[in-house]
Amino acid sequence: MTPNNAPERNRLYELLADEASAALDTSDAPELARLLAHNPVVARDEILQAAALAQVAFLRRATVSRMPAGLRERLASQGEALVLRQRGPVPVARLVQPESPPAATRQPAISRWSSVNGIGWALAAMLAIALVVVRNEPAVFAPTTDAVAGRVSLVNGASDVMTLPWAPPTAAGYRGVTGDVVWSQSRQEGYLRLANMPVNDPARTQYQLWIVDPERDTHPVDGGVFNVSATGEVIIPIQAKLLIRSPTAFAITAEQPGGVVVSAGPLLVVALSKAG
Amino acid sequence: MSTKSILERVGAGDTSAVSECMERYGDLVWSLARRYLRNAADAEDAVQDIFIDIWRSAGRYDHNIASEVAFISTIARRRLIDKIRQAGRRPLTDSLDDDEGTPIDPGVPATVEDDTEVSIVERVLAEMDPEHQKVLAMSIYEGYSHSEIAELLSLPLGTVKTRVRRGLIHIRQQLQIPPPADSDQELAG
Repeated sequence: MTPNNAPERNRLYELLADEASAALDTSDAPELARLLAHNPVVARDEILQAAALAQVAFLRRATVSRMPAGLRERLASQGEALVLRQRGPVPVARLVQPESPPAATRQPAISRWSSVNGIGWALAAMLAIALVVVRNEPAVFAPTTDAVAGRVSLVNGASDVMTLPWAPPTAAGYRGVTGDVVWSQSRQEGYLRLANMPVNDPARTQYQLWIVDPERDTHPVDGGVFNVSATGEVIIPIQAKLLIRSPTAFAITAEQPGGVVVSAGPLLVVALSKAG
Repeated sequence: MSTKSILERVGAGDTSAVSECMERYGDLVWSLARRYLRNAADAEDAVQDIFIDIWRSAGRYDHNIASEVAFISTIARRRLIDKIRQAGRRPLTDSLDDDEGTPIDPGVPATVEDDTEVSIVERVLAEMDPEHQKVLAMSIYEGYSHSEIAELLSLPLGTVKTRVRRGLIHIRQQLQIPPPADSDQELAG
């Protein structure tokens, strides 16, 4: 380190301390980002970890509250389901035969997303403004036999599965897409079923799922990036990056390879809950 | 016999490690959230997000880099701060219903007691000026904003901010994370 950048480094640690104490002023955020970029050897979590350990140390002087048993069981159940889904690499895509005529064909047409009562605001916002979406590292999910079995297991085994048919798409090239979304709130697990989804070139674009959950946030949650390698019906596991509370819509966009954290749409395929 | 830690087993897809992780760290995370957010509903939301993050991040855990307590509590702190940001407010001190705390079960804190990093921080805190330590506890542990601490302790806002900053930077130094240049020599005071 040169003497010249010492003041800058110290200023960086001050801002990281502000961030770690939930006291970072929004006007300081650009400066923090700039200093982090200038000081790549400084990990953003350094001070956060110090604060976290201090929090634990202070806690040890007091009493520990017991986590409610119901919450503990729910979290363990969700955790086991997540760990199971994360286990092992995802194999090559495989097409499957439709189990039944797509439910979406039986649904009333929705001509404009923005006209959908109750959920139009979220979808319109997704289109109209750049959305900052909480997202971890990109992950690509391809349809697999595991996904097929997982969907069957979920539908047959979970007591709270919601099934949302895709609304008839209006986007050019996607009007023939049918299928549905199944989602279990308790398991935090779900699958997309897509028939006639146009094949994407992974080198140029990939599909990305967004989950609209106004109860959780005004920003949609990233539901994972995936490819469709052939026409027919495919099953895609949903990989929500955050806990979903009450999903009101699932929407698919086409994005750059690896997906994005900010999507400007357009929404290619959408499934809406009745509550939405 | 496997020598993998609980988080490493979670990361490797061992579902039995999930329950062990909940058993060992569930009360710790819950207590951190309850103390910091005060409101039970907020704490429950935050704890769910924290554990989702833990399950998804476990594959990146390396016991050579940090202890499980450090790894988990850092995730917890990040999510607790997110929770406050999302709400656009500081923690709800006016809805304190936190008298559910029970005396520490010997099985609960034992893993924390064994944690070297926590012990280092405890030593640093013990050596810290009590007034500085108090400011740090109100900010980091109890979730008061700097302006609230300034008002409650009749201190200038700048003093509060400086004490919190210096305290955290000093703890970081003592944890032997590579120190910043020309760091303040009066941090411990």
